[in-house]
Amino acid sequence: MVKAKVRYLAVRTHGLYSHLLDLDEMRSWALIDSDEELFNRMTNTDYGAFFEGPQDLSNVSKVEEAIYRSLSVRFRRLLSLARGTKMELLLRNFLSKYDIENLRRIVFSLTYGRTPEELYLIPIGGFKLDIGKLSKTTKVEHLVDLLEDRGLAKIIQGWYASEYREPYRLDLSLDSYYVRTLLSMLEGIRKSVVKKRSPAGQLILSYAESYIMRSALKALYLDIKGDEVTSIYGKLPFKRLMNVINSSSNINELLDNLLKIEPYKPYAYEIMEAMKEVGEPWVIEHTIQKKIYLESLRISLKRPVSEAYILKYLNATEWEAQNVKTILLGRISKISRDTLYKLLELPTTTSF
Amino acid sequence: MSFRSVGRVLPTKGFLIRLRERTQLLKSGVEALKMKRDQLVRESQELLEFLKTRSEVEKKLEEAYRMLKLAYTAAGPTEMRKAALLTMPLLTEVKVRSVIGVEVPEIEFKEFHLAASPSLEAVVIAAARKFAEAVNELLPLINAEAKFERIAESLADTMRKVNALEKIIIPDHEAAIKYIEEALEEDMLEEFLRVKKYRDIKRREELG
Repeated sequence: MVKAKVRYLAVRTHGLYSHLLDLDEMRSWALIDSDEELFNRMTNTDYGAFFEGPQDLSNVSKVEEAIYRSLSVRFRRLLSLARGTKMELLLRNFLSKYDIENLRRIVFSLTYGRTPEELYLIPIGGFKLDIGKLSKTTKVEHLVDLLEDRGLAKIIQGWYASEYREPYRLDLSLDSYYVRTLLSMLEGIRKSVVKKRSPAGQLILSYAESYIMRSALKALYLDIKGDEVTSIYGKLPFKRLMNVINSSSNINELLDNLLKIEPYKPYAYEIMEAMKEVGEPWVIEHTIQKKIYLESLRISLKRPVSEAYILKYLNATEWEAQNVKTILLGRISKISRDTLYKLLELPTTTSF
Repeated sequence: MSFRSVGRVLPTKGFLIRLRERTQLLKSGVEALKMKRDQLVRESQELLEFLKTRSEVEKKLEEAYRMLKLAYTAAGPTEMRKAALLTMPLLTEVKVRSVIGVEVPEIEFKEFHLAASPSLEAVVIAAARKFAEAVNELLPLINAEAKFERIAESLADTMRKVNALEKIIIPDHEAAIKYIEEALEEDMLEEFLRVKKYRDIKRREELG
């Protein structure tokens, strides 16, 4: 029965997947100069409903809102299909990163905000936390009291009580907490939602590892020492990655070390190339998001009607949203077509 | 008699002595001002090489703006606002230093914190770092430019003073001295002739 439900969900996800944009179609958007033409092309997609007219394509806030809202609609649709299944918990945990991000923004706003209006939340959330209620608090202490997830409350309380309240400490602790929550779905035989060795289990492990890699790369980019980063993360099951982070004292060292390990090599190389070109590793997000997408493509192929495919859909949705955002905001910012093309380029795994 | 930069001239010995003393003082003042002028020229020449780096700094700022544009594109406005929230306002202190008697403003960073949050997108961090780098290089340049401007102003002022002293005031004083000397000599000659005439009259009276 349980398997049948998951299969049903996987089949429905195949249907949802067909609504995603084709990469070539997306890339062709970067070549369109006229807002009207682009608007006409977009009306047939999921994003079309969020734009009233071509003039909205020149409005940064409207573009961003449309992308977030479309993402939110897709997540909600999937969650409504998964309601009552074991997958619902997994999906909620997977999507709780948006809640955590909003929670982080509330904490930062309460700590550093200069006016109460300075609260910039992502319009996606409510998967595990009641962000609406939490955002109304005026003090961090109240926020901690309101948080039902005591693990998160403990992290925020500890950070707020610390002497310097460095943002990176909160960030890394929350990242570690999110990854642990995700990995908890694999633990235990009876309780586990998906088995560790199943494609979905592999996908979660790969995603969690990429998540940590991204977070660590940015931390080291901010000149935080590798051993400090790993001490904040605590014990995580990615021994090889954690050893590499631990032994690196800056981002160059970390990239050099990652270059020596086969699965990380192409991504480390891509970031290093960007560093050579611009002097800054500004493509970290894009590269890791690409890694997540490619990995989920590869793993989900092992069993197309399974939990792995559902998770792949989430990754593909995020990858698409990132690309659409890049194209639309890039057009507004007058970024050259070449740069936009380069950003949207999706190499096959064999090209590395 | 009156001279433009000396004022009313009295052809007396006392005035002559005071005028000579004043001229001496003016001449030594000119020497001191010339030394200051030379030193200011040297200081400004030393700054010239550094001021040429402006184009490099401008290039870095251009790069930073390009990265900011890219950050806005890839991360979006919400993320940028979050980064702004995490960035502490730049605090500076302006001190005044004296270079050869010229007051020069000097700006120093008191607090300069970047948004150090790994939750920010890398492209946003990159833009912030590019700006920090550019601002770090811009500040010494701003200080040098302000110093150069003040030195140049002071140099122009000093040269004006030297010229005025050498071309107008000192020649005026020397002319005044010459005039008094001539007037006094004339007086002395008149006095001598008067005495001589008086003696002649006296001698004639004694003989007669």
